Amino acid sequence: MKKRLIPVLMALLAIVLIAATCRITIVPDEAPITMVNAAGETVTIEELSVTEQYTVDNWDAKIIPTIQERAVNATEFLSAVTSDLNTAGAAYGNRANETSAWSFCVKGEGMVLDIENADKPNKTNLVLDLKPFDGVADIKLHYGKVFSSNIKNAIRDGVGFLKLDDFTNQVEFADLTTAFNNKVKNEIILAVSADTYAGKIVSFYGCISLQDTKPESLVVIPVELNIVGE
Amino acid sequence: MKKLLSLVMAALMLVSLMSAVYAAEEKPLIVIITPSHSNPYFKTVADAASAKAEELGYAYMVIQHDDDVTKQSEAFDTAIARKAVAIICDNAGADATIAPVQAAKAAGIPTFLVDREINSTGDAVAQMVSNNYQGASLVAEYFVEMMGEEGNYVELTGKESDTNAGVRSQGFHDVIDQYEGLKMIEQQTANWSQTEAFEKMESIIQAKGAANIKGVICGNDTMAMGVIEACLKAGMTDVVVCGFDGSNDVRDSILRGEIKATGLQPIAYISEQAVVQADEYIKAGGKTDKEEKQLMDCVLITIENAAKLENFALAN
Repeated sequence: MKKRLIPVLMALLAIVLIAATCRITIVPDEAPITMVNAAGETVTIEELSVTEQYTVDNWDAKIIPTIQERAVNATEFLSAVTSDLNTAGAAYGNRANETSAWSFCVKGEGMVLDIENADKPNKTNLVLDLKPFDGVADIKLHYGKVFSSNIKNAIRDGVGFLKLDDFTNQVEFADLTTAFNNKVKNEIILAVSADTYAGKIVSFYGCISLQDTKPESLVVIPVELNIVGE
Repeated sequence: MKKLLSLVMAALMLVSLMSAVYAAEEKPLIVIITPSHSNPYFKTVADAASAKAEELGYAYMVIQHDDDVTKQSEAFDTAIARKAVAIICDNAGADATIAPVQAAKAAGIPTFLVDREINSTGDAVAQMVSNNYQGASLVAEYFVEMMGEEGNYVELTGKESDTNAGVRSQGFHDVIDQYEGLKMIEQQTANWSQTEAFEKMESIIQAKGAANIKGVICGNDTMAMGVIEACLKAGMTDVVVCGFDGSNDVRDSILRGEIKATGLQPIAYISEQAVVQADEYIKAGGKTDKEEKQLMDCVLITIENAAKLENFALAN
């Protein structure tokens, strides 16, 4: 009797063990969502992250209109920030606190004098001579694939209404910057090769973050960029 | 007599255990709760906050929780029992700290968190932390440059329960992963600890071979100190090691040409500002116009500016 009980117990134990260690996952059948990725391929995606979804929902509706509305003429902007960054920042810009860079929205028209780092796609800039033209470089437009940390938050912090408190944590808030910059990368930087702009007159809207006003810091991330003349 | 002696001993032990500093009793009390001061970073939190509290006319008490959530709860209980007017806390865990902060709030005591976030909003009055993501990006950019945009590297991450460990790691990778030539061959946690980092780095060097490791990026300075020690012991004098925090130890290592860079967290400034905001909050009758979460930007420290660094502050 006892001997017979043992295999039964063993079997029961095995069932319990299997039940305890296995998990049944039901995968619902959902219609695949597709989008075009950075390389131009159509890919199936699970779902967008919170910040990607935010960008999809708000870029045209809120981000671009805010930048257009807040944008300071680039020539005026340059004279204001180079005379006193903090005064200019208080008048036209935004920052979270005293340790943060000032971020601004700017607009302008300029002649593309040079394609800086044309052979380094990560670090390319368009060098502009702003109107009225004098052949001297005034400001740069970021045209690289890599957004360095001193400029990368310009859009998020430049529009002025996006606060850390409205996002889960600083990772998500940082992801917002990445989502915005990816939008610029895909729709402007990767869409049109930098040398297309050589010698052309362009009009632009964009955002810029400044800790100082050294010439190498004066780099605007463009959100709109159009050729308006030769 | 013996009884009295043991009683006195017990009392003494209690006092030393809490490493509490008492100032004049009649002033309103601010309780400052931090991790162990064995890491000079946390000593700076306590020193900067207590100096500002004294300056603004408060009594203060400093308690170390040693990253032990039970000790931290006891520290909050002490603050509640002693009717503190505010708590300044560098907390012991993003989840485990929510309940003590809520308990303090229920007792009418506002908490001002510094250095580390918690996973809730609306409980603490302020969460003032370094912009770890921005700082990590700065360090990673310099790391990429020193690596010449290519080669194998190792990453040592911090304690998993601490949000900063994940944020810094993500900040590193959002920069480094843009470069195809850079390959992470090992990623391990060393729990913010110098000895653990030393031991883990020794094993990694053994496993991978010194010649196959060009750089090591670390989630904090104490781990970077352990790593550089292990690397130098293995004869890796050209290794690119970067840390995070901006400690005097790493400053000295940078000046010796060993560690290459660190991200300075403005922790002295943050700790002072937490007390200033607590003071404003109390004087305004429990109101603030500041946002709860406040990010303070970090500064890259390299051979260029290391000499100006002292106790987590950069001289102008």
